[in-house]
Amino acid sequence: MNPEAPSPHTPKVSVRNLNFYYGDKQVLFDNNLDIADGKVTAFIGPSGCGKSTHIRTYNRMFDLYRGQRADGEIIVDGTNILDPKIPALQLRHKIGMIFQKPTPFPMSIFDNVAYGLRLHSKTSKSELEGRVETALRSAALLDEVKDIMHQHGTALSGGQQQRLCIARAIAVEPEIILMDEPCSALDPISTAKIEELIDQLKGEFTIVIVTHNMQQAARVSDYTAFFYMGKLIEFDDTEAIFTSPKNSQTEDYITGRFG
Amino acid sequence: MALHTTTRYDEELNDLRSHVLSMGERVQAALDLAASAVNERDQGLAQKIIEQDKAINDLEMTCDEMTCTLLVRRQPAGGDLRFVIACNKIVTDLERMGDLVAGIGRGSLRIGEHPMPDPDGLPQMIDKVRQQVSLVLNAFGRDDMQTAMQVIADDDVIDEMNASIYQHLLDQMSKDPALISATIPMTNIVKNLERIGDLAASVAEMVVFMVSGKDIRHISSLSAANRLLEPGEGRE
Repeated sequence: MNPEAPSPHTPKVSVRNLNFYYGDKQVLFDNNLDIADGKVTAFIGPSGCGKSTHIRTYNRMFDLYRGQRADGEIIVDGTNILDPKIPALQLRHKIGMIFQKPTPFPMSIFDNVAYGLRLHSKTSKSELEGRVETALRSAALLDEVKDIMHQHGTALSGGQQQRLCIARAIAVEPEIILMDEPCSALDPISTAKIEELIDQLKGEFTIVIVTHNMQQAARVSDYTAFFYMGKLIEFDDTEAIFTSPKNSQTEDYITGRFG
Repeated sequence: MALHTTTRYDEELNDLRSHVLSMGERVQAALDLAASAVNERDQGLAQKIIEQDKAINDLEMTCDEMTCTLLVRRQPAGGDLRFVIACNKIVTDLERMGDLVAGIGRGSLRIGEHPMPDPDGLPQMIDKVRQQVSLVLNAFGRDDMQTAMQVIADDDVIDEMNASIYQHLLDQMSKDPALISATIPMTNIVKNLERIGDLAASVAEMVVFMVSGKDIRHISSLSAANRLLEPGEGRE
């Protein structure tokens, strides 16, 4: 079964008949879903279910690896982004990504956030400073780093580093932010800060988050998709998924009966 | 349904279910005593009913504590969440039933002081209420939605019995005002029985929610509730 997604809101991303292959091995099977604009959508499922593979097709991360390919369609604002004619750099400008482990660049806090801005556009020094500050404020990190902007990003705590990565992602004003297990390397307080940040960023950005932590999906997302063995098993309002899932596999997973 | 990966979680859910069922058994035992107290005018039973009510109150607090622990430690979801929420509400209904049965016990002492014949239909009403309580506890213990729906449907029977007996008691008081002091405790007993019937139906609604995820409370008619429960939106 591969249900159509509920789409009460305008879809920002429409995934149609998405299949994915690592060489000869097919790992995603005919995934169909709509990601609502300005909302938080969570992907849950046991390890190896395909949720990370699925999210990584949205910015064509697989382009970087030989032998990996996707077919089907991923329509973002009317354009199929799987079309190789769409430049990956332009795509990743529009669709930012946050990874499991914070990945600050080995440079100052300021330069970390300014990096993408310098890459994507010619910006005056004063404008650059303004946009770095705005991004750090949006990522709820400015107060903690405003006096140490020229210190190394890697000197920050894990939670701060992750918020730095979020600041770096939002500095280039993407429309979609993909988060692949963004809190799994963080302590509970840092996790709470990231979750609070997700709540503040939604609306302005469309957020898709992969998480192993079902309670986190229940806390932060508007919609939840449950994947199992490369198939989208159920996709619904988060509240419906966690109170009355329609599929017995979803029920077994969210209640801790397998996975 | 498959077992949880965490065995202790299953044990905690089962433990809550058996405590709710024990509470229900206490309510049934108290109701049996109250039935004897009223039908046989056995005034010696009132004290035993009050003792049962105390045990019911203690079990309510134990069940509430177990519910709190499950919510905070396990963060139940899906059917488990509905089960815990349903238990929380069922326990409140059972505790109220216990209070109402204790009220019947106290009423039985007062009718003993003013002998008068039983109104027609009272033993039948008592039996029907006992049957409803017993059925709804079975429905809860077995996740049996069909029986729960039957309990909800049969609440009308109790309401009709109540209306008929109440009218009979009113007529009796208008005809012979000397019977008023003897009749008032009887009207209270009948009212309490009717309320216990309502609470059995309320427990049945929670069983339906627990099993199906559908909330059929405050729906205008039984047929509308049945339509909501029709297949199509249920579990695949």
